[in-house]
Amino acid sequence: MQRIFLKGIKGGTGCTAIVANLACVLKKSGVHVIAVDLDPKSDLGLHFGLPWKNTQGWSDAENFNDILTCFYQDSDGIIFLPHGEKTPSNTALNELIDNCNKLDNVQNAWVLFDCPSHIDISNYTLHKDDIVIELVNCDAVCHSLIYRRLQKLKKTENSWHHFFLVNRYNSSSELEFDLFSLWQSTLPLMAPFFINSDEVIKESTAYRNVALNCAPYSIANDDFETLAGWLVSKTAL
Amino acid sequence: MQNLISKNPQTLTSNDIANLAHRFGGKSEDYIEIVNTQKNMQTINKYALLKEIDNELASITSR
Repeated sequence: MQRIFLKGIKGGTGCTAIVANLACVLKKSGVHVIAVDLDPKSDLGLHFGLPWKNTQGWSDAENFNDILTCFYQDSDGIIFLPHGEKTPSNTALNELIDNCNKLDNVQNAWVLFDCPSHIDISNYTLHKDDIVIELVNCDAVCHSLIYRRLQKLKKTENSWHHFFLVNRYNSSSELEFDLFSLWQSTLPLMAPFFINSDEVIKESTAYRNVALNCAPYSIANDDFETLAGWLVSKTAL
Repeated sequence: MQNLISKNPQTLTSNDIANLAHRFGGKSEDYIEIVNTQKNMQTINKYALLKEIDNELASITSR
């Protein structure tokens, strides 16, 4: 089982849309994908066609046997677990993450965790093969947050693989070009590509779907395929 | 027929960094690229917040 934790370095970086689109691209390439919503705003299901009225999820369940009844499968075959309405404790979060290891009934399944931005990644019980991707936007606040994160990472004994990924990159912005060029040449944990800002991502969500299904020849879908390929190469290292 | 010239990329990728860390040990975040230093300084000096952060980081590392 390969576990990928995706998290915005701050709120509103576009993490949930990345999780949904990445899950779809991986699934289409033959990977068994399970997407788990750890974010109390509980909107991952909307990308997979979960009816808006369905608000229940794992946080409302009493135990893991009950949680097993909360899983859904979308039309592409992606298995996903909505968050639900309750705000879980840190212990409950980690119990769920650990229990997800029991879901590996399909060989080489990938579990994508949509993590809330307000919970520090060090609060999760992570293993050496886990990959953490922190989503950043090319702005000055993220620049500040990245360097704070790097200082923290240097002080802690983190065993997992940690990367930063630029989302919603606007190629016509001078500031974004400057920041991305700077980060590429000074930050070793920066992914060597970015996810472009593309209306397709927003539009596909509005159509209750993902970029791959709504606009398979879009820049957005190319970017998600690049991300999926890069992650596959990382797991092979 | 034109000869195709292959150029090595100027920017290290995270794969290169991971390989360095794997070969020489330590954490991968300890490895930074030392090219484009001048261009990076121009960018840092262009924006006040970036300059402030850079100065602060420099003072921490010199302590």
